Amino acid sequence: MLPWLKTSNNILLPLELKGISKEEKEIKLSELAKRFRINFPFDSFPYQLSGGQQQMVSLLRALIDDNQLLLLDEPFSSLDYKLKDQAVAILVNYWLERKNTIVFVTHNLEDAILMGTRIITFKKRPLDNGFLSCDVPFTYPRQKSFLNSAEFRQVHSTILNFLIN
Amino acid sequence: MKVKIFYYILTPICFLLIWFLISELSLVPQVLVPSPIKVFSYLFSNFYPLLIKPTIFTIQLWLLGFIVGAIIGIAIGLIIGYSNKIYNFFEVLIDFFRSLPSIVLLPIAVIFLGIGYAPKIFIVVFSTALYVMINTIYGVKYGKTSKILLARVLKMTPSQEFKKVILPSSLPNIFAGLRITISLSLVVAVASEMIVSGTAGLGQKILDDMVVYNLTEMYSIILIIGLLGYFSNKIFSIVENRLIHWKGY
Repeated sequence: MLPWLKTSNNILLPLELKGISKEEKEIKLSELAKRFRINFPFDSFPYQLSGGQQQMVSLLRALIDDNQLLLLDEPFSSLDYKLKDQAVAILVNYWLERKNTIVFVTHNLEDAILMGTRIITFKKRPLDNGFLSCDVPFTYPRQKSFLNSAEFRQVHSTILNFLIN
Repeated sequence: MKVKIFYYILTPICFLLIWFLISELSLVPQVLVPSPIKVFSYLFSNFYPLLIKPTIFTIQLWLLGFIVGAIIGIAIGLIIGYSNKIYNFFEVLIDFFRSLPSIVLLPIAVIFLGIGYAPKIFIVVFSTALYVMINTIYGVKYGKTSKILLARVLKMTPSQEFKKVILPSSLPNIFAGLRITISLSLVVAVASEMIVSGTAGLGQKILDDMVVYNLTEMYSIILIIGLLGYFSNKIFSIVENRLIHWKGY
């Protein structure tokens, strides 16, 4: 993030670089804010926000421009449990509308199964120890109750077995 | 904050009081250390017309040299900091001149430029430009890592990258350099006046006073120079804190 820019200008940076008009940027920003239920002030500076909020700002900056490919490396790691659940749901909805490619790196197996279409699991030194590619063919939206279903547990145990052995 | 203001007033008063006692009790002969009352009353009654001219002269040498030096230093620093190749090429030279007290170059400047204004302004510009340049280089190099990666990811053009990332991210260091050199350039300006005569600045005046034992005026001039240095530094700190509000992030 660029600490000398206000939060709103950090999020809008990709559009700014493309020379998109001020009105259009404002519309996009307020849409995004509404969709992600952002409750922190956009006219603050990033260093005035908490770690989790800063992470959300980085994510919003990636989402504001319609990218074909998103590479997200543990984007929710600083969020608390409740906020993270919310963010997961919102990201899935965002993806359902666009169907762009998102590579999402996480250590949380439940999140991976809840969100992913395909999960690739790495062990330490994957070139020596191999990796597991595993499709998750279930329909969206996947509710929290999905975590208790037999399908979920089956995928879960497949991956766990790979990791343990 | 209140405690701080308290000390801002208390400490100078203690200092003046000790000075006063040393002089009034003749711990040191009054001819050598005149009482602060005498010095301040001299300063107030004689600053205009006796000292105003040399003061303006020194301020002119100092600030003109500082401004020109700062502009040159920032410009060269941005270029050298941006390119690792150019930096590697100049690194030894920069480290050499950084370790060299700029004032020792004054004789060379005199040989080429004669006595008078030119060698002095040269040496002030040179020392300011050198230290501002060094700080600017570090600012550009330091700001390079994660923020430059962001610029690449967002596919910024080189000019966008410069304007939106490199310049602002090096501003904290540039300002640190300016704050150091606003004081340094005053030192160099006055010292050059003391070493090379031929101009009518405070440095020249203070030496003249020493020779003719006009110590009251000599102490007055020290006070003037001290106050110039103190307030210029304060003003810079305030501007810096306002402008570079994100410092440290």
